[in-house]
Amino acid sequence: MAARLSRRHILGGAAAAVALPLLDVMRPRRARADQGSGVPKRMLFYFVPNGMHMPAWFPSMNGDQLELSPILAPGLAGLEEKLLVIRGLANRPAVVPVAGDHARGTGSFLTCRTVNKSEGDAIYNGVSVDQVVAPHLCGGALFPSLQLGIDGGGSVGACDSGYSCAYIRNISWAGPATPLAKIVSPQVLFDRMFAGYDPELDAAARERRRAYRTSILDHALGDATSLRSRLGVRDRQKLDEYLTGVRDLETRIQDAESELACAPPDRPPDDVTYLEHVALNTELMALAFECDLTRVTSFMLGNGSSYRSFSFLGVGGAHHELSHHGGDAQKQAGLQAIDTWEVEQLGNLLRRLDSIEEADGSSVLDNTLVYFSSEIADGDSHQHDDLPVVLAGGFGGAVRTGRYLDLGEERPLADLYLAMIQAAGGSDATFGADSTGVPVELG
Amino acid sequence: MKRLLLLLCLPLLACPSEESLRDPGEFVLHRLNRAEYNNTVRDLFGTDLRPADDFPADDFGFGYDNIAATLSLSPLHIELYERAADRLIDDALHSGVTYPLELAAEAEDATATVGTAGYDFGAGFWNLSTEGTLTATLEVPVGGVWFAGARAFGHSAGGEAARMRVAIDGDVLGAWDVTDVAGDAQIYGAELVLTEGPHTLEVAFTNDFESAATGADRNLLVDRLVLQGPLNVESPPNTKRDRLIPCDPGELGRRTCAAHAIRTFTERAWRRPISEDELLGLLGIYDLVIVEDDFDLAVASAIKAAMLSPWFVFRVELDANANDPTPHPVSPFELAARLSYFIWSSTPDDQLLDAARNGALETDEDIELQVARMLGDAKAEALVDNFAGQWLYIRAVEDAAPDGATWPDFDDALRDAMKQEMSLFFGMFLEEDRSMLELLTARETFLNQRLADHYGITGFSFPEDGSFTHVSFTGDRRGGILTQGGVLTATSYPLRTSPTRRGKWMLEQLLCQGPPPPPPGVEGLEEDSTTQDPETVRERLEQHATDPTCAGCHVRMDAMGFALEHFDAVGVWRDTDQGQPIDAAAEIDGEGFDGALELGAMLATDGSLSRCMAQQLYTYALGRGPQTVDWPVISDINSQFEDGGYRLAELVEAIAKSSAFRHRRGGQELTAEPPPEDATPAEEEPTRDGWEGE
Repeated sequence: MAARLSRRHILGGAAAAVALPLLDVMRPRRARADQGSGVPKRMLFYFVPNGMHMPAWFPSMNGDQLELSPILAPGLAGLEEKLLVIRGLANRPAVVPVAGDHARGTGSFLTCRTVNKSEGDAIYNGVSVDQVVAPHLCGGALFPSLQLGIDGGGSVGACDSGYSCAYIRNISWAGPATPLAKIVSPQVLFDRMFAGYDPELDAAARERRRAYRTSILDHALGDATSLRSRLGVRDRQKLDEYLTGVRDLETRIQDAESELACAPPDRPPDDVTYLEHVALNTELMALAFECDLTRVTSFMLGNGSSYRSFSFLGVGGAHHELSHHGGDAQKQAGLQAIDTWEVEQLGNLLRRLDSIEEADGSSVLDNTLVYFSSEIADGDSHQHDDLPVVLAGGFGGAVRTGRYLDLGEERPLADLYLAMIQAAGGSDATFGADSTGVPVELG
Repeated sequence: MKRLLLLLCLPLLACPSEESLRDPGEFVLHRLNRAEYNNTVRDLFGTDLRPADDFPADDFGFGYDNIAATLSLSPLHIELYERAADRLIDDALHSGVTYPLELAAEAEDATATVGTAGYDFGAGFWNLSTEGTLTATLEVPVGGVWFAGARAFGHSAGGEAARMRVAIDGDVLGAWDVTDVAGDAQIYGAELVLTEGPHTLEVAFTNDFESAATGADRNLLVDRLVLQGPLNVESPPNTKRDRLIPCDPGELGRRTCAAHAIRTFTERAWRRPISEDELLGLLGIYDLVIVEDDFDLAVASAIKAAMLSPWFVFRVELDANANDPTPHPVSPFELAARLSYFIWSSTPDDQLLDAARNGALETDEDIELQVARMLGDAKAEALVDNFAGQWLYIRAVEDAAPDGATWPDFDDALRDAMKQEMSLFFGMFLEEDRSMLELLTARETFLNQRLADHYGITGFSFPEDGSFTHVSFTGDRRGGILTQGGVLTATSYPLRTSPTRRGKWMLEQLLCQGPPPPPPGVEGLEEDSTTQDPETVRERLEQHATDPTCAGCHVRMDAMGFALEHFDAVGVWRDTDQGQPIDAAAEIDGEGFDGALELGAMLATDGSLSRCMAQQLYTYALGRGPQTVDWPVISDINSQFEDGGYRLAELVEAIAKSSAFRHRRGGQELTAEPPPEDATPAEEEPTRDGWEGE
């Protein structure tokens, strides 16, 4: 075994330590949740755009049986025991009396902050709840979290009334000015999940590859460190985004187990239809949990205020346009059809998660908490209160499911997220801009 | 400050000019966007791969996706950069073609006149148990000397081996006794000269033998028919590999060749010369890898490091002192990069780098020379794809979603045709010396059969392969971008036209006078499908004119959109809407017009038009929205544009020679701060805002 050159040599000189601003994402990743039974716990955040047709949304209780509504029933029938539908949540930070509700609603979907109105050079949000829970749940999983979606983003024009497209396209935020871009290509996601898998490589070869990757990233860090000292304040901000990314990747390479828990399935094809794309994503999300590649995922079925056409459902017009129904019965019917279809996609994922068995006989779904909602309630009035929220999965018993919970009074969405953070093992006393410090009771 | 500098400089021989002391505005570290990344690696590697198509979508600001301050970078980008580097380098090193090639047809797939699939020792072989043939046709890619034959073994019997005859294109090549050792099948055949193209290879079993008495049975078992070659032709050079590793490690010595390859690549990739220390840093990676792995991987690793470096990912520009706001010229290499990313959306070519190296990028004449050269290069197509693609909303056609039930024929082919029409039309202004004002008025366009059918245009004939023809109009319906299907569709709703959106598009993109967002609480246009008298879109929009909250902005916007009402939501001419005749007459500020052509003619005489074109291209070229210091520069550029007959080349040149394009300064200030807790965004001045609803 030949002598290895030290990193110092590769960096071509004394490696200077740099005191970077401590960005949230650089918190140590080794905090482990109280595993209890040893079965991993997971969270998944599922976003659908343009709200819901609210008159057909809320279910009811018949004695102690959950009775699903017209929108919820087709997709979720049979899963009642694992659902908790909540009424009474509001996301007040998204309410500002100027145009831009979709940007504000989507931007604050997981952050509960009033996002700064800027077309791009002064975006300011907060940390999203999935990033807060990720270090607690991470365990030994390869990715602290995954951000997935279907729509990349439009090609021209503006996104929403002077608000940056970043607010519309991302729900996960590592820091106030750091949206976490999502993967929208099934091939890229597949490669990312199963990239390390090469049965031809022996352990020594694998170790060498890892060392090479680390050296290359070290070199990049060295370049960036010495460059940073020569730049102005705004340039440093840009470079810090780069530094964070390189550090993240290096940490992951070093932490990665050399063995993958699963052999990969076939690589998905390049050219897929929208429906195939959604189905593939559903499958890959389930696999990511099954193979313990991550414990926290956020998923956008569409970008905020999506203009997608659902003609395959026999619905004319664009989703966003329909959500501005103006009381028109035909538009509302179209909207309800779309909403029902979205819930069916959720149902597919939940059933898939329920079909994966854990060591103790429970299902992955029983040990997961899935959060499903939209950036607004009624799309016509851009309503940010009385939000449509479905929780699914028992999170290992922490959540009492099989019911419809009408909170009776308006509670901040941030208090629900606070409850989820605490359930994950966090000791945060508050979240977002308007948490009261009193978490919503989930048990 | 300026005065002081001028006074102080008097004793010196060279004074900074008034121009060069002008504040060039703030430039921010500029990440390569997706289009720029793809083009850059295309030029660096000579590849067709487009890895940036997998990168997250770029954010846009001020209408473009190359605005430095708006482009952000997430951890996902870094991962995908690594993935891209791996693929590009692997493709460059290993996708070469080496001779001889082997072409084979498995015997089971060939056409057989007799026989069955072999079993036991013959598994994978075809058993010609009686006399018969196997035939296959193989495509020879390069003419020359080839070996033709087949791999086979046989069952000997009666004292003789099985005999195989090989023929090619009907001519017998030879016959051979094949081995009877089952595990030792051999290839039998001979060399001959073959031309490029298909050739038929035939294998025959010629000496069948059976003895019912002894049970002896002679058979021929064939694995595959093969052609190997060309044997007398040199493998084509792997140009991609040669570009990456332009030396022979065997001749030069491995580490010397590695250093040469790494330096050559990195100086192109980082768009500047590199220092000895920087080279040593990268060679350190080579040194690490070469210990246990091969030369290719070692060099590849160093090159990968160069591609992940911030010097590649960003277009880095430096000030002597980052806190000093004194303007100074950008370095020649920085100017080269600004020029190439402006005109080509790609990395500087060797000629441009040489000009920078040799001090030939200093004067106005130097820049004029390069600009003219660059505009004449095919890579200038980037201005069509990326500038016009965004300015004229050509890219937006991708996202347009006309209702499938109303227009079932609106498919990808039509979408592409619409984009092509607009791209070719804009391309005219790149190639010919025409006034850009004719974008609004030119009575010509480019059509293919599909698009002409869609528009209902007859009287022209088009090639069958779908390619485009330059056509001229004589009627009074079409001419100029306001009548092109692409933008007309992109500014419509799935079920109907939107005069407001079309008017807004014209105000924003052509006159740079976009309206502010609507007041909150204004919902969409009432889609009342139940009235007895169906109203036209125009009639329903009239309420904008009567309501004082709406009229201020809408009177102008809607009027412009009404002029285009003869074109439906997919750009097809119509005479009625909801059974009522179309009224395309309107007026703005007392000036009347009827229809798209008259509106186009009117806009072409509007002083704001050329100024707005200058502003748009300036924004794109500098990669930032106009700042206060830019307005006089833009005015200046506009004057040159006007004097130059409004030619696009004139505008490009004026921008490239402008003070802001050739200078930069330090003294950046932070803009992103957390807003106060209950901040309400202030009232709007007209900016680039967009909104939903009408």
